[in-house]
Amino acid sequence: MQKRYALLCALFGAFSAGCYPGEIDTAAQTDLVATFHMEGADFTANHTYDMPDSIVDVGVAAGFDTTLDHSHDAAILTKVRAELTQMGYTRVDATTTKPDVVVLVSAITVDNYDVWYSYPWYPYWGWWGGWGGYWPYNASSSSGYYYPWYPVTVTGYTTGSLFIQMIDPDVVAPDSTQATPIWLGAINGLLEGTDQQILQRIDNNISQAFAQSPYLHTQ
Amino acid sequence: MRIKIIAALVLLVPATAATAAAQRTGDKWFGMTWSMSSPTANSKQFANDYSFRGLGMEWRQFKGSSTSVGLSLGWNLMNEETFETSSIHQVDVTGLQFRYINAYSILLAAHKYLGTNHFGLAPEFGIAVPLRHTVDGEAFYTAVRYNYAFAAGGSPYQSWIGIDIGIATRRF
Repeated sequence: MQKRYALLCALFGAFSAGCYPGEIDTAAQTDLVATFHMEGADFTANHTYDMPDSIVDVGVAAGFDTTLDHSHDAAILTKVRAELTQMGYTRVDATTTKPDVVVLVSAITVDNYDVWYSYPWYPYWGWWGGWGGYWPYNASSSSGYYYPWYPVTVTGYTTGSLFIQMIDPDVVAPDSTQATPIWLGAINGLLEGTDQQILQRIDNNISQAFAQSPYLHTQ
Repeated sequence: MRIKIIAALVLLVPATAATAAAQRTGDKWFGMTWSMSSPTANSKQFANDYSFRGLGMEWRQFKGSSTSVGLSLGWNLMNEETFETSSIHQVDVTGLQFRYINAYSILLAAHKYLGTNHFGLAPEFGIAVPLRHTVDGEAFYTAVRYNYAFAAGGSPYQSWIGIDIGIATRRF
């Protein structure tokens, strides 16, 4: 009877643990859109903006190597401009007209690597079996210990972040070499999938950044 | 975002299930259940989905023919996936949220039994059906229990209705 209940306990435990919910299934599920705005900023006072026609690579600017793909810069900048237009902003040329705000777009990619060297028993069950006694102690071996091959698994993934900063030149920064953004949109996600899929996600997330910042409207 | 709740309560339940045979002082009951849960109030706001994930274990010792005391241990996992925007001061964040409530309950229980047949009713609502009519009996039993964990550690009170299905054995 006790054996039966022990077995039931084990089955219940395995069942419950195996069904733990909330796993990430797609790269799009990792997307995060965060926006910040300066307290007290009067966005309705701003009507014009200028924006450089390039995306600043934060990694390069900081002196590091980069894997940032600039092939979609134009599409991203076009999307940002369209959102600003929808918010009521008019683009001006800063070399001839002082804009109310300056919009800067920057990005960074981060390569992440995980190395797994603990014994992955599950995928190898079936062909690996056959050791005697408890691993790593082998009672039948004269040495007592042996060194099995540790399958080392390396997993890698790349995350990307896009930053859209709105800077009001009239807002005095604490340091004269810096500028204080009155609004910042930060988009982060896993860079997995085809270029088209990634670009579509970036497009959606830029829309979301502006959608969750209705105070940016000029009116 | 995860919330872990550990509840240690003294639970007085006026009545619950009864097995076919009369109980005597010293009789022991041990049961294991598959425990489902339906969050309510604050818990429902945080993790709305009905949960099929949970385990329960219960031990009782009889004090006379219609009273028992015991210990009930439970785990319920409630979760919800939601895509929404959260706002705090000047920050708005949008993304897919995986919300979990891992509720571990430790209940000291006292049961008062009504009737000598297969059914009993109570705030903890239970039914026990003997699988075979032997002295050393096993029973299928199910119970519906309202759980309430007091506010603590900055979290508001949590509550849920647990639906337990399991088996129990009675020893002498």
